[in-house]
Amino acid sequence: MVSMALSLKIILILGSGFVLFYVIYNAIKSRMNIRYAILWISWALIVLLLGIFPGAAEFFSRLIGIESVTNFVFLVMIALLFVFNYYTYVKMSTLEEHDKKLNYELAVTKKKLEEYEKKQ
Amino acid sequence: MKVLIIVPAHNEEKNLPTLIPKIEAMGWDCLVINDASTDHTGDVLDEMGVPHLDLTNNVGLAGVTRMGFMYAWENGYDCAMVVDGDGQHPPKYIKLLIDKIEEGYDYVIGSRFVNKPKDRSLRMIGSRLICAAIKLKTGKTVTDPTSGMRALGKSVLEDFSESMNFIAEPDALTHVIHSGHKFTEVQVEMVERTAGVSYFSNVFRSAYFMFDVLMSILFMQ
Repeated sequence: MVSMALSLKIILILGSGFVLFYVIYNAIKSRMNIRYAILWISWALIVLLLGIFPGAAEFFSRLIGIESVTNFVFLVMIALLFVFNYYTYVKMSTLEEHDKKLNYELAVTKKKLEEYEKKQ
Repeated sequence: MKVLIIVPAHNEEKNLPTLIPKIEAMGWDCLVINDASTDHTGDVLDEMGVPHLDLTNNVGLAGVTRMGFMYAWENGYDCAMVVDGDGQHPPKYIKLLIDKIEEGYDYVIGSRFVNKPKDRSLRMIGSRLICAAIKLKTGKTVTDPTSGMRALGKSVLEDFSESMNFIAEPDALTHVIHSGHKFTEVQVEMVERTAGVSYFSNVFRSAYFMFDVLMSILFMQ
Protein backbone atom coordinates (compact mmCIF):
# COMPACT_ATOMS: atom_id res chain seq x y z
CA MET A 1 0.00 0.00 0.00
CA VAL A 2 1.45 3.33 -1.11
CA SER A 3 0.08 6.11 1.10
CA MET A 4 -0.51 9.72 0.14
CA ALA A 5 2.48 12.00 -0.15
CA LEU A 6 2.57 14.93 2.26
CA SER A 7 2.62 17.39 -0.64
CA LEU A 8 -0.63 15.92 -2.03
CA LYS A 9 -2.28 16.27 1.40
CA ILE A 10 -1.21 19.90 1.57
CA ILE A 11 -2.47 20.58 -1.96
CA LEU A 12 -5.84 18.97 -1.14
CA ILE A 13 -6.24 21.00 2.05
CA LEU A 14 -5.13 24.31 0.51
CA GLY A 15 -7.10 23.76 -2.72
CA SER A 16 -10.37 22.83 -1.03
CA GLY A 17 -9.89 25.55 1.57
CA PHE A 18 -9.60 28.11 -1.24
CA VAL A 19 -12.67 26.68 -3.02
CA LEU A 20 -14.67 26.82 0.25
CA PHE A 21 -13.71 30.44 0.86
CA TYR A 22 -14.35 31.54 -2.70
CA VAL A 23 -17.73 29.77 -3.08
CA ILE A 24 -19.07 31.15 0.22
CA TYR A 25 -17.82 34.63 -0.70
CA ASN A 26 -19.60 34.46 -4.07
CA ALA A 27 -22.82 33.12 -2.56
CA ILE A 28 -22.92 36.00 -0.08
CA LYS A 29 -22.38 38.45 -2.94
CA SER A 30 -25.31 36.68 -4.68
CA ARG A 31 -23.20 35.80 -7.68
CA MET A 32 -24.15 32.13 -7.45
CA ASN A 33 -27.51 30.60 -6.64
CA ILE A 34 -27.36 29.33 -3.08
CA ARG A 35 -28.44 25.78 -4.00
CA TYR A 36 -25.52 25.33 -6.37
CA ALA A 37 -23.18 27.03 -3.94
CA ILE A 38 -24.07 24.40 -1.33
CA LEU A 39 -23.25 21.59 -3.81
CA TRP A 40 -19.81 23.11 -4.40
CA ILE A 41 -19.27 23.57 -0.68
CA SER A 42 -20.09 19.89 -0.13
CA TRP A 43 -17.48 18.95 -2.72
CA ALA A 44 -14.85 21.15 -1.12
CA LEU A 45 -15.68 19.60 2.27
CA ILE A 46 -15.23 16.07 0.92
CA VAL A 47 -11.84 16.95 -0.55
CA LEU A 48 -10.86 18.77 2.64
CA LEU A 49 -11.73 15.68 4.71
CA LEU A 50 -9.64 13.50 2.37
CA GLY A 51 -6.68 15.80 2.97
CA ILE A 52 -7.09 15.98 6.75
CA PHE A 53 -7.89 12.30 7.33
CA PRO A 54 -5.85 10.29 4.83
CA GLY A 55 -6.68 7.25 6.99
CA ALA A 56 -10.19 7.25 5.52
CA ALA A 57 -8.80 7.28 1.98
CA GLU A 58 -6.43 4.43 2.92
CA PHE A 59 -9.31 2.43 4.41
CA PHE A 60 -11.47 2.76 1.31
CA SER A 61 -8.65 2.05 -1.14
CA ARG A 62 -7.86 -1.14 0.75
CA LEU A 63 -11.57 -2.01 0.72
CA ILE A 64 -11.87 -1.81 -3.08
CA GLY A 65 -8.35 -3.06 -3.77
CA ILE A 66 -6.56 0.04 -5.05
CA GLU A 67 -2.79 -0.22 -4.64
CA SER A 68 -1.99 3.47 -4.30
CA VAL A 69 -4.05 5.86 -2.15
CA THR A 70 -3.33 8.67 -4.61
CA ASN A 71 -5.25 6.72 -7.23
CA PHE A 72 -8.20 6.48 -4.88
CA VAL A 73 -8.17 10.27 -4.53
CA PHE A 74 -8.17 10.59 -8.32
CA LEU A 75 -11.08 8.14 -8.50
CA VAL A 76 -13.12 10.21 -6.03
CA MET A 77 -12.37 13.41 -7.94
CA ILE A 78 -13.37 11.90 -11.28
CA ALA A 79 -16.56 10.43 -9.80
CA LEU A 80 -17.52 13.81 -8.33
CA LEU A 81 -16.81 15.49 -11.67
CA PHE A 82 -19.08 13.00 -13.42
CA VAL A 83 -21.92 13.65 -10.97
CA PHE A 84 -21.59 17.41 -11.27
CA ASN A 85 -21.38 17.28 -15.03
CA TYR A 86 -24.44 15.06 -15.29
CA TYR A 87 -26.37 17.37 -13.00
CA THR A 88 -25.40 20.34 -15.18
CA TYR A 89 -26.66 18.57 -18.29
CA VAL A 90 -30.00 17.74 -16.66
CA LYS A 91 -30.33 21.36 -15.58
CA MET A 92 -29.31 22.61 -19.02
CA SER A 93 -32.02 20.48 -20.64
CA THR A 94 -34.78 21.91 -18.45
CA LEU A 95 -33.49 25.42 -19.04
CA GLU A 96 -33.52 24.91 -22.82
CA GLU A 97 -37.09 23.67 -22.62
CA HIS A 98 -38.06 26.68 -20.48
CA ASP A 99 -36.37 28.99 -22.94
CA LYS A 100 -38.42 27.60 -25.84
CA LYS A 101 -41.65 27.96 -23.91
CA LEU A 102 -40.85 31.55 -22.94
CA ASN A 103 -39.91 32.40 -26.51
CA TYR A 104 -43.20 31.01 -27.76
CA GLU A 105 -45.21 32.76 -25.08
CA LEU A 106 -43.52 36.08 -25.85
CA ALA A 107 -44.10 35.72 -29.61
CA VAL A 108 -47.78 34.91 -29.09
CA THR A 109 -48.19 37.86 -26.72
CA LYS A 110 -46.53 40.20 -29.27
CA LYS A 111 -48.84 38.93 -32.01
CA LYS A 112 -51.91 39.46 -29.84
CA LEU A 113 -50.77 42.96 -28.94
CA GLU A 114 -50.20 43.89 -32.61
CA GLU A 115 -53.63 42.60 -33.58
CA TYR A 116 -55.15 44.53 -30.71
CA GLU A 117 -53.38 47.74 -31.73
CA LYS A 118 -54.55 47.38 -35.35
CA LYS A 119 -58.13 47.10 -34.17
CA GLN A 120 -57.90 50.32 -32.20
CA MET B 1 -50.70 52.34 3.68
CA LYS B 2 -50.74 50.47 0.35
CA VAL B 3 -50.93 46.73 1.03
CA LEU B 4 -50.58 43.88 -1.47
CA ILE B 5 -51.66 40.34 -0.60
CA ILE B 6 -49.63 37.87 -2.66
CA VAL B 7 -51.22 34.46 -3.20
CA PRO B 8 -48.91 31.81 -4.71
CA ALA B 9 -51.03 29.14 -6.38
CA HIS B 10 -50.09 25.87 -8.03
CA ASN B 11 -53.00 23.61 -9.01
CA GLU B 12 -55.45 25.22 -6.60
CA GLU B 13 -58.63 25.34 -8.69
CA LYS B 14 -60.62 23.94 -5.74
CA ASN B 15 -59.30 26.23 -3.00
CA LEU B 16 -59.11 29.62 -4.74
CA PRO B 17 -62.88 30.21 -5.26
CA THR B 18 -63.42 30.13 -1.48
CA LEU B 19 -60.16 31.83 -0.46
CA ILE B 20 -59.99 34.83 -2.83
CA PRO B 21 -63.40 36.42 -2.03
CA LYS B 22 -62.51 36.36 1.67
CA ILE B 23 -59.24 38.20 0.97
CA GLU B 24 -60.79 40.67 -1.45
CA ALA B 25 -63.54 41.46 1.10
CA MET B 26 -60.85 42.95 3.33
CA GLY B 27 -60.25 45.74 0.86
CA TRP B 28 -56.55 45.28 0.17
CA ASP B 29 -55.09 44.67 -3.28
CA CYS B 30 -54.58 41.04 -4.11
CA LEU B 31 -52.27 39.41 -6.66
CA VAL B 32 -52.54 35.70 -7.40
CA ILE B 33 -49.50 34.17 -9.07
CA ASN B 34 -50.38 31.03 -10.97
CA ASP B 35 -47.18 28.95 -11.04
CA ALA B 36 -47.79 27.12 -14.34
CA SER B 37 -50.67 25.06 -12.97
CA THR B 38 -51.69 22.00 -14.95
CA ASP B 39 -55.32 22.11 -13.81
CA HIS B 40 -57.87 24.88 -14.49
CA THR B 41 -56.45 27.39 -12.01
CA GLY B 42 -55.87 29.90 -14.84
CA ASP B 43 -59.48 29.68 -16.07
CA VAL B 44 -60.83 29.95 -12.53
CA LEU B 45 -58.79 33.14 -12.02
CA ASP B 46 -60.00 34.65 -15.32
CA GLU B 47 -63.57 33.89 -14.32
CA MET B 48 -63.20 35.52 -10.92
CA GLY B 49 -61.61 38.59 -12.47
CA VAL B 50 -58.95 38.83 -9.77
CA PRO B 51 -55.58 40.37 -10.74
CA HIS B 52 -53.18 37.55 -11.47
CA LEU B 53 -49.99 36.55 -13.26
CA ASP B 54 -49.92 33.31 -15.26
CA LEU B 55 -46.38 31.93 -15.38
CA THR B 56 -45.22 29.93 -18.38
CA ASN B 57 -42.71 27.80 -16.47
CA ASN B 58 -43.00 26.31 -13.01
CA VAL B 59 -40.58 28.26 -10.82
CA GLY B 60 -41.51 26.91 -7.37
CA LEU B 61 -42.72 28.67 -4.23
CA ALA B 62 -39.50 30.62 -3.60
CA GLY B 63 -39.48 31.97 -7.16
CA VAL B 64 -43.16 32.90 -7.04
CA THR B 65 -42.89 34.85 -3.78
CA ARG B 66 -39.82 36.62 -5.17
CA MET B 67 -41.86 37.76 -8.19
CA GLY B 68 -44.63 38.91 -5.87
CA PHE B 69 -42.17 41.03 -3.86
CA MET B 70 -40.69 42.51 -7.05
CA TYR B 71 -44.18 43.41 -8.25
CA ALA B 72 -45.04 44.99 -4.91
CA TRP B 73 -41.82 47.03 -4.85
CA GLU B 74 -42.15 48.23 -8.46
CA ASN B 75 -45.74 49.31 -7.90
CA GLY B 76 -45.00 51.32 -4.79
CA TYR B 77 -46.62 49.18 -2.12
CA ASP B 78 -45.66 49.83 1.51
CA CYS B 79 -46.40 46.31 2.65
CA ALA B 80 -46.62 42.90 1.01
CA MET B 81 -48.02 39.79 2.60
CA VAL B 82 -47.88 36.16 1.51
CA VAL B 83 -50.97 33.97 1.93
CA ASP B 84 -50.71 30.45 0.52
CA GLY B 85 -53.19 29.52 -2.19
CA ASP B 86 -53.79 26.08 -0.67
CA GLY B 87 -55.86 27.61 2.12
CA GLN B 88 -53.57 26.65 5.01
CA HIS B 89 -53.30 30.30 6.11
CA PRO B 90 -56.77 31.43 7.30
CA PRO B 91 -57.53 34.97 6.02
CA LYS B 92 -58.79 36.07 9.45
CA TYR B 93 -55.17 36.43 10.63
CA ILE B 94 -54.07 38.70 7.77
CA LYS B 95 -55.04 41.88 9.62
CA LEU B 96 -53.04 40.92 12.75
CA LEU B 97 -49.82 40.78 10.72
CA ILE B 98 -50.50 43.95 8.74
CA ASP B 99 -51.28 45.83 11.98
CA LYS B 100 -47.78 44.97 13.20
CA ILE B 101 -46.25 46.38 10.00
CA GLU B 102 -48.26 49.54 10.61
CA GLU B 103 -46.80 49.66 14.14
CA GLY B 104 -43.37 49.92 12.53
CA TYR B 105 -42.06 46.35 12.27
CA ASP B 106 -40.27 45.40 9.03
CA TYR B 107 -40.92 41.67 8.99
CA VAL B 108 -43.80 39.87 10.70
CA ILE B 109 -44.27 36.10 10.79
CA GLY B 110 -47.48 34.24 11.50
CA SER B 111 -46.22 31.64 13.96
CA ARG B 112 -48.07 28.58 15.22
CA PHE B 113 -45.95 28.36 18.38
CA VAL B 114 -45.71 31.77 20.07
CA ASN B 115 -47.75 30.54 23.04
CA LYS B 116 -48.46 26.96 22.03
CA PRO B 117 -45.99 24.08 22.45
CA LYS B 118 -44.52 22.08 19.57
CA ASP B 119 -45.25 18.36 19.40
CA ARG B 120 -42.49 15.76 19.13
CA SER B 121 -42.97 14.72 15.51
CA LEU B 122 -40.01 14.38 13.14
CA ARG B 123 -41.01 17.58 11.39
CA MET B 124 -40.96 19.56 14.64
CA ILE B 125 -37.53 18.16 15.50
CA GLY B 126 -36.44 19.68 12.19
CA SER B 127 -38.07 22.95 13.17
CA ARG B 128 -36.23 22.93 16.53
CA LEU B 129 -32.90 22.32 14.79
CA ILE B 130 -33.49 25.31 12.52
CA CYS B 131 -34.47 27.46 15.54
CA ALA B 132 -31.23 26.44 17.26
CA ALA B 133 -29.18 27.32 14.17
CA ILE B 134 -30.82 30.75 13.94
CA LYS B 135 -30.22 31.33 17.66
CA LEU B 136 -26.56 30.39 17.19
CA LYS B 137 -26.16 32.69 14.19
CA THR B 138 -28.16 35.74 15.28
CA GLY B 139 -28.73 35.31 19.02
CA LYS B 140 -32.47 35.84 18.52
CA THR B 141 -35.18 33.35 19.48
CA VAL B 142 -37.73 32.44 16.82
CA THR B 143 -40.58 29.96 17.23
CA ASP B 144 -41.76 29.07 13.73
CA PRO B 145 -39.01 29.66 11.17
CA THR B 146 -40.60 27.60 8.38
CA SER B 147 -43.88 29.51 8.39
CA GLY B 148 -44.68 30.88 4.94
CA MET B 149 -47.25 33.37 6.27
CA ARG B 150 -45.37 36.63 6.55
CA ALA B 151 -45.77 40.35 5.98
CA LEU B 152 -42.95 42.57 4.73
CA GLY B 153 -42.52 46.27 5.33
CA LYS B 154 -40.98 48.63 2.82
CA SER B 155 -37.33 48.22 3.81
CA VAL B 156 -37.40 44.41 3.59
CA LEU B 157 -39.37 44.67 0.36
CA GLU B 158 -36.62 46.78 -1.16
CA ASP B 159 -33.99 44.35 0.12
CA PHE B 160 -35.81 41.27 -1.25
CA SER B 161 -36.68 42.81 -4.60
CA GLU B 162 -32.97 43.41 -5.23
CA SER B 163 -31.81 39.91 -4.42
CA MET B 164 -33.22 36.83 -2.73
CA ASN B 165 -30.51 34.22 -2.61
CA PHE B 166 -32.32 31.91 -0.18
CA ILE B 167 -33.30 28.26 -0.05
CA ALA B 168 -36.58 28.91 1.75
CA GLU B 169 -38.22 30.86 4.60
CA PRO B 170 -35.78 30.02 7.44
CA ASP B 171 -32.65 31.45 5.82
CA ALA B 172 -34.62 34.43 4.52
CA LEU B 173 -35.61 35.09 8.14
CA THR B 174 -31.99 34.72 9.23
CA HIS B 175 -30.95 37.28 6.62
CA VAL B 176 -33.66 39.70 7.79
CA ILE B 177 -32.60 39.46 11.45
CA HIS B 178 -28.90 39.55 10.58
CA SER B 179 -29.22 42.74 8.57
CA GLY B 180 -30.92 44.50 11.47
CA HIS B 181 -34.55 44.71 10.38
CA LYS B 182 -37.21 44.88 13.10
CA PHE B 183 -38.87 41.50 13.31
CA THR B 184 -41.72 40.02 15.35
CA GLU B 185 -44.08 37.04 15.46
CA VAL B 186 -47.85 36.81 15.79
CA GLN B 187 -49.73 33.75 17.05
CA VAL B 188 -51.84 32.18 14.28
CA GLU B 189 -53.49 28.83 13.60
CA MET B 190 -52.86 26.98 10.38
CA VAL B 191 -55.15 24.51 8.68
CA GLU B 192 -53.65 21.08 8.09
CA ARG B 193 -53.55 19.98 4.48
CA THR B 194 -56.63 17.93 3.60
CA ALA B 195 -55.84 16.98 0.00
CA GLY B 196 -52.64 16.33 -1.92
CA VAL B 197 -49.24 15.15 -0.76
CA SER B 198 -46.78 17.32 1.14
CA TYR B 199 -43.38 18.00 -0.38
CA PHE B 200 -41.87 16.85 2.91
CA SER B 201 -43.46 13.40 3.04
CA ASN B 202 -40.30 12.09 1.39
CA VAL B 203 -37.63 11.49 4.07
CA PHE B 204 -34.64 11.97 1.75
CA ARG B 205 -36.05 15.18 0.36
CA SER B 206 -36.62 16.47 3.88
CA ALA B 207 -33.09 15.55 4.94
CA TYR B 208 -31.67 17.26 1.85
CA PHE B 209 -33.79 20.34 2.57
CA MET B 210 -32.60 20.43 6.19
CA PHE B 211 -28.96 20.16 5.11
CA ASP B 212 -29.33 22.98 2.57
CA VAL B 213 -31.18 25.26 4.97
CA LEU B 214 -28.76 24.71 7.86
CA MET B 215 -25.73 25.30 5.62
CA SER B 216 -27.32 28.47 4.29
CA ILE B 217 -28.20 29.79 7.77
CA LEU B 218 -24.84 29.02 9.33
CA PHE B 219 -22.46 30.02 6.54
CA MET B 220 -24.12 32.20 3.96
CA GLN B 221 -26.52 34.69 5.50
